[in-house]
Amino acid sequence: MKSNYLNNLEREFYFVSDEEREQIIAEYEVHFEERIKDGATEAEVIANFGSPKSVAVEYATELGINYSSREKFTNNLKRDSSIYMTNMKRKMASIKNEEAAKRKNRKAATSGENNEQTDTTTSNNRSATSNRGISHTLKNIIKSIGRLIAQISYFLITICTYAWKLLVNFFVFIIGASFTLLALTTIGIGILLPIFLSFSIFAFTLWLLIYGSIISITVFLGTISLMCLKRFGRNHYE
Amino acid sequence: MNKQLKKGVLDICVLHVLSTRDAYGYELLKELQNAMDVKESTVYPILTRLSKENLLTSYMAPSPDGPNRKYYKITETGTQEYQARKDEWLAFQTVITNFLN
Repeated sequence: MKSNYLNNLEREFYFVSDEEREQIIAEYEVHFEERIKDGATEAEVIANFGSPKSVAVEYATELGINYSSREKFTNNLKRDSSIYMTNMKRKMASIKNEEAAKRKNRKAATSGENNEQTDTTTSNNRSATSNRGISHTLKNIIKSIGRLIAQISYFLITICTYAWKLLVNFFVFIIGASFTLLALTTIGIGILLPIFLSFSIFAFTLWLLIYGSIISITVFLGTISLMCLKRFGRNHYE
Repeated sequence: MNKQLKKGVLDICVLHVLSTRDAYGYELLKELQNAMDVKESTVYPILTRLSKENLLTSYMAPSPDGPNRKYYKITETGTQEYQARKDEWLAFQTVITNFLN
């Protein structure tokens, strides 16, 4: 709920630089944490804060920035991709931290066991812990692959939505343009069609004549050259 | 309280708190809320604006638990501005009070 709200907030702050946005969201995150520590629920904090959009509008007006609800396409895309990148960075960092912490824990555990056990059993223990380690890393790898796939699919979906919007706009434009063209040309067609038709019949016959002659000439020359090859070429090579 | 009326005064209140010590956003908000009715989301943009006007500077400091806090510190020009605005406000306030009485 909280992360969802902060994500939405991040989306609304499209009008500031990436660095500023990060700082702003960090500040609001601190606010969240401290309010909850003081005994409020997440829902209460959100209710007190207001909708993400109203927060962003308040911010923009305070700083004298024009907040328009109809953001530009490029702005959206830029912002979403940068948010996506920062999210990815954050996730990568957290995964790294987790890994490091786990490794530390494992080391501590193995050293503890080694101290307690006698020499004969330590080797068994070691193999057991290493097995556990492998399964852990495997799990983590699978997890991170899953996350990556999810991230990629999310990214693709956002791109697809934008592409879809663009496509729809394009079609609307094409349809409108073609209708106006049609309306303009219907008048012209009434006059021009008979002339055009007669001309096209003439052009078609001309086309047939030219291409027909070209084709027949090439076929004729081809057969002659093939015959020549059969007759003389082979003998010559042999 | 009227929104327009409160707007200019909140600046002075924020500067007042920061003239005594450095504080992070939530801390400041709480202190203001102890004294008056302030909407949660109003303080943060004010802090940013005052920073942009070079009245405040900020630095990050880790908190015992949770994300890093952004502390605000009043600058030299900020202190001067605070004094000027405070005097202005006090003079204005006495004029209005006298008038209304």
